[in-house]
Order: sequence, then C-alpha cells, then structure tokens
Amino acid sequence: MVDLVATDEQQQIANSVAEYLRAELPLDRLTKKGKANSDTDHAKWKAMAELGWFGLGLPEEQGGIGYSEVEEAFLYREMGRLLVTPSAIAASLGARVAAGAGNGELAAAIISGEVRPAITIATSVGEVGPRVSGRYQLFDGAEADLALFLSADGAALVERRALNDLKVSRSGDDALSLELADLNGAPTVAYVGADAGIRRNGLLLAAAMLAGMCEATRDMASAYAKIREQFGQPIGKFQAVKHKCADMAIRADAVNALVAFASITVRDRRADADFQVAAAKLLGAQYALLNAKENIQVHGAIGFTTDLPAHLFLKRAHVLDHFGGAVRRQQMDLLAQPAA
Amino acid sequence: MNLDFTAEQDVFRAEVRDWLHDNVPKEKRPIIGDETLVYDKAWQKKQYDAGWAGISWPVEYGGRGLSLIQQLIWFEEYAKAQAPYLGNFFVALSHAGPTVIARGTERQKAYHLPRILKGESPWCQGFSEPNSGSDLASLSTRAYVDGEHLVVNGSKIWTSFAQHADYQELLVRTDPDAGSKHSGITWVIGDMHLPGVDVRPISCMDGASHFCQVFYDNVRIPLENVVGDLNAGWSVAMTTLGFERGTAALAEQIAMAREIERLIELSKTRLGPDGVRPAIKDDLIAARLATLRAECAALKAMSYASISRAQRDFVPGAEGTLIATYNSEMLQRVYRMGADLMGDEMLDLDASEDRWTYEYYRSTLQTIAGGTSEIRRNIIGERLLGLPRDR
Repeated sequence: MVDLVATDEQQQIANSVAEYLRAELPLDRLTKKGKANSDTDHAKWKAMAELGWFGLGLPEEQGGIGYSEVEEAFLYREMGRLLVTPSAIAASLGARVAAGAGNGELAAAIISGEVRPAITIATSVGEVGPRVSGRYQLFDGAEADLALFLSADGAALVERRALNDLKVSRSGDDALSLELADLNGAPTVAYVGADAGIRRNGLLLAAAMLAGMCEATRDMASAYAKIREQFGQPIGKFQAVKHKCADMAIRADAVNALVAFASITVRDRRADADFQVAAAKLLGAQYALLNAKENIQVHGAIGFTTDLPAHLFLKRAHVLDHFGGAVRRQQMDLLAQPAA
Repeated sequence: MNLDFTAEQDVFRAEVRDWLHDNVPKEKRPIIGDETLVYDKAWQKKQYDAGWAGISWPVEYGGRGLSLIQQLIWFEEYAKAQAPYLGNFFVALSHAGPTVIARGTERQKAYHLPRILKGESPWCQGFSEPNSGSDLASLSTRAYVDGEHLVVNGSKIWTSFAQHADYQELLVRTDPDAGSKHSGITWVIGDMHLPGVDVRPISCMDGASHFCQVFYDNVRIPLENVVGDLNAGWSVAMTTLGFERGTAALAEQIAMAREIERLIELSKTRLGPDGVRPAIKDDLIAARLATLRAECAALKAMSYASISRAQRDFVPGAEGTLIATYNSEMLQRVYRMGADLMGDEMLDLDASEDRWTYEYYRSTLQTIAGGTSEIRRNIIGERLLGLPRDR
C-alpha cells in the first residue's frame, strides 16, 4: 500500500547512521585544524565499511547486506548532512560495477573497505567502455586505489596507478583533493554497460546526499537565527530572516520527499525511475545550492569564514551537482523522458 | 516504504475510473455567471445520485466515508478524468459541511448536510473583512444578542460565490470586551437571503468576478444557527482546517502535472524567441519546463508523504502549509510559462482556446487566497522551525 513514511527498520538504519556520524565525523572535523580535509573520513573508512555501508544496497549474493536503494538513500542523506566524502558514492557504485562485471572478489574488497575507490567528473567528451579515454577530475583520490568513471554508456573502474601523469590542482571544494587525469585507452579492472543502471544509482545517491545537505543547512540557519541577536531581538524574529529559513524548509522537504519517492521507483524498477531520479538530482542540486547560499547569508560575515562549515556546503553542492551531469544536463535528460 | 496499491484498491480504482468516464460532464465548466451555478448543482447532484457525494465525509452523515488511500485514488482519477472544479460547492463540501459535522447540533446536521450533498445549497465563507485580512482574528463585524436572534452589522469581503450561495459560514464579533481578539468571536450559519444582506460583486483582474463584498444591515439570524458555543467561534473555525489531510490538493497537483505536459507539447508547436525554431529549442524555455516537471514530481511526493503520515494518525504539523506554499507558487510559474509560450500573442486574450494569459492573470490570486505566502512563511518559520514570533 502507498506509504512514504520510513518503516521502523528504515528509521533505525537512519538513526544509527546519524548517531555514528555525529560522534565520529562531526562537522567540526572540517573546521578544527584550520584547513578542511577529508582525513578523518579516511581514518574511519574501514569502520564505515564494517558497518556495512558500502554494500548496504547490494543483494547478499553480490556480497552486499541485502537492503535496497531505499535504505541506501537514507544512509546517504545522513552522510550528506555531515559532508562525508563522495568517495563513499564511489564505493557503493564500485561494488556494483565489480559485482556486475563478475569480479566478486573485487566487490567484496570494496565493500570491506580493503580497496578504496574515488569519484571522477569528466571535463571532455570521453569514452567509458572496456577502456577509458578522456580528461577527468579525480576528487579525494589521493588515498584511493581505484577511480570510478560514469557515462551514459556505462561505468568502469580503473586502477589509480593506471592513471598516468596525474596533475594536482586546487580543488573548488577545500575538503576534497583534486587531481587531473588525461586518459587514452586506460585499461579497466571492471566495466558494465549502461543497462546495469550504475549511473542512475549514482544520481540517486548524490541526490540523497544533496537532500541531507538541504536539511543540514536549514537546521544550521534556523538554529543561528534563534540565538544571534541584533536590534535587541533574535534575528529569526525578523521576517526577512524568518522567511529565508521557511524557504529553506520548503526546499528541504521537497527534495527529501522526492528522493524517497525516486528511491522506491528504482528499487521496484518502475518505468518512471529515470524520470524521478533525474528530477531528484536536478532539484537536489538546485535546492542544496540555494540553501547553502542562504545559510551563509543568514550567518552574515561569520558564514563567509572558514571558522564555520557553511561555505563547505556550497562547495560540496557544486561537486555533487557536476557528478553524473550538472543541472542543465539533468534538465535535458528529464525533458527527454516520457511523462511520469 | 511503498508506492503500490493493493488488489482491492485497484478494483476500487477501476470502479471510480469507469464511473467518472461515463459521468463527467462532456461540456467544460463555464467560467463566470449564473451558468456556473446551474452546472455545479447538476454535477453535484449526479455524484450524489450515484453515491459519490462527500467522499471524505463520514457515512453516518451521508458521505462516502472513504479511507485516505481511497480518497487519494478518487482524486487521482478525478483529475485524470478532467472532472470539473467544485466551484460553488467548494466551501460547502470542504469546509462548511465538515465544520457542521464536527461542531454542529443534530438539527443543523439534519437540515444542512443533505442539502449540500444533493447539490441544493451552495455556501460561501464570511471570514475576511476590509480591515481584517491576514489578521483575521481582528475582525469587527458586530453581532449582539436580541432575544432569540443575533443582530449582525458590518461587512465581509473577498467572499467567493457569495452571489450564488444560500448559506455562509459567518464569523462575527459577539463580545468586543473579551480578553483577547481570538475570544469573543462566534461562528454562525448565515442565510444569504435574509433581509439586510446586500451582496456586491467585485470586478477582478482576470475579467471574471471571483468575489464579492457582503454588507449586513441589522440582519437577524436565529441563535439556533450558532455552531459551537457563543464566543467560541475561533476554535470552531480552526476545527476543520486540513480536514481532508491533503487528499483534495492531490487532484489539483495532478491537474497541474497535466498542464505541464501540455506546455511541453505546446512548446514544440509554438515558435520560439528566435522566430525560427520551436520554443522548446530555446535553452531557457527548455530549462524552465524541465524544472517544472521536477518540482511537480516533488510536490506529488510531498503529498504522498503527507497522506502517509496522516494514515498513521500522526498529528498534522505545518507540513500542509509547506505543501500549500510550494503548490501555489509553482502554479504561478506554470501559467506564466504558458503565457510566455504564447509569445507576442499572450497580449491577445482570444489567441488561444487554452486561455493561458487568463490563467496566468488568475494565478496571481494563488499566493493571496486562503493565506498569503507571507503568512504561510511565518507559520513555517514559527511552527516548523521554532523561530520566535513577531506578533
């Protein structure tokens, strides 16, 4: 029967993830040392793997935990709230690519955290097939063993050491390192075609993270609006601020409901799954960017500093927007879909 | 979490679809004038005769008593069948009737409920006043008790359907000396045909008269028409807000999704801004259409989520306000898109039978009626986010 409320079990998963992340990967890990980086995330990589996160949505016969894309979306929403490295997405997708390509050993190694993949974003027209060509940005890949490549044609894993002449560049997201790769027929360790639906899974996970970021920025802004006083009253009492916070709440609710809906359509392999996922990814990115910007605005000058993680939500939203195709691309893809 | 319907629900859906297919009026609902009343009465009567009147009303009061999911199915099919807007019966079915059910006397119920369901008596809402809009509780239309009557003097405004209504849910100030502005208000059933009631239609920007101003000059309303207690009217008015728990809004949202698909089709045939290619080849137009599709998908998901929570008897929070705000502002973007796709011809109201410009003008009311966007954002900020009140 139609039901968009989390089951007790799903709620428990979300709660336990949230509890773990708040304790082990609090947001201040990204502001404490003066320089944001994802070291802490990688220090906890094995621990996250042992909690089963990277195999959560994979069937047991593929070495996964046997939950579905629905529970996985809850997991990634919570990760989004705490700005966990997008390498997690690379792991969940990489395990699927390896399993889909018949390399169960590699899938198991990714799920257990032994082997660590990172995401890439194409900057040229390339080719993702049994071999990979083109120019790519590799995010947070310094400690990675594999790089994940996605395109409309399929998904592939390439060993980091096969990425010749990696060039370090300055990342638009302070918390993530950036290297540039120029590949010309690099060999893959696993490749699956478009029908495996890896890109769709990736868009959904990114959308779920963006949904969590919409919530986190909403909460951060309204918490601050309650305590920051000017003109003798909390700034949240002024409608100019209150209404900004209300808009952030509307956007967070819209994206969250859509991500939940889309995750069910993916799990159930419904005909409108591509439609719903493209919609979720495009709204997720638009709204996370807006919420991040307004969160900085509500905080005023402190929001512009690196003392607070507010800027990191904006920057991460841009990374996730470009992952799997940015808003304009999602708009084209969504318009090409039949009506849902 | 699930999006499936049970076999039983599928059977119900088929029954609804078949009935609507055979019975939805073939001719479009007229937009203005007394023809709307004739049309709306006939459609309501037809639903009543077939047992489909008051689908969310309890069975003991003549309603159909559908479960929330059945209501969801009804409204989805209602929208898909392009069944007409309730028009003159909107207030009676979605607010006045449910209020009488919740707080009325047995006599009030026995008299009014069948008349609503059978399509005999349309109602209007007498809440807003010239000096009391968003600040409704400041209302000052005065009523004093004189023997067995309330004697009403004052004026109500922005009253939709007042020119056709037989009855009115009327809020009056019965105790001007009560401690707070929320106390001292009474909810009373006003007969629109009583001596001293003067209804004057107000001309509106879309060319159709949507509402009226109503004047009361020593109008004598029997005390037995008071619903709830004297001076307890505010709580009566609040009783049935959100009565349908978001199921009725779903029909509007599905209708909006259909409008967006029509716009996408329209953009393939209308000439774009370059005067050469179809409009959809224009990047900005394509981007707007795609975003509307995505937003409408989100709106449906929000409604499904809200109905799911209601099913589990969760106490409704401000989520209905979130949805209403998103919905109303999206509707404005949809019709603005339609007007834009008409290009220069948007200036010619007769250029298209689809009346995009008219709908665009009309949609500006969306963020005012039933709570302005600004008041809604206050509610979201204060009740949902816990920000401090400023009033």
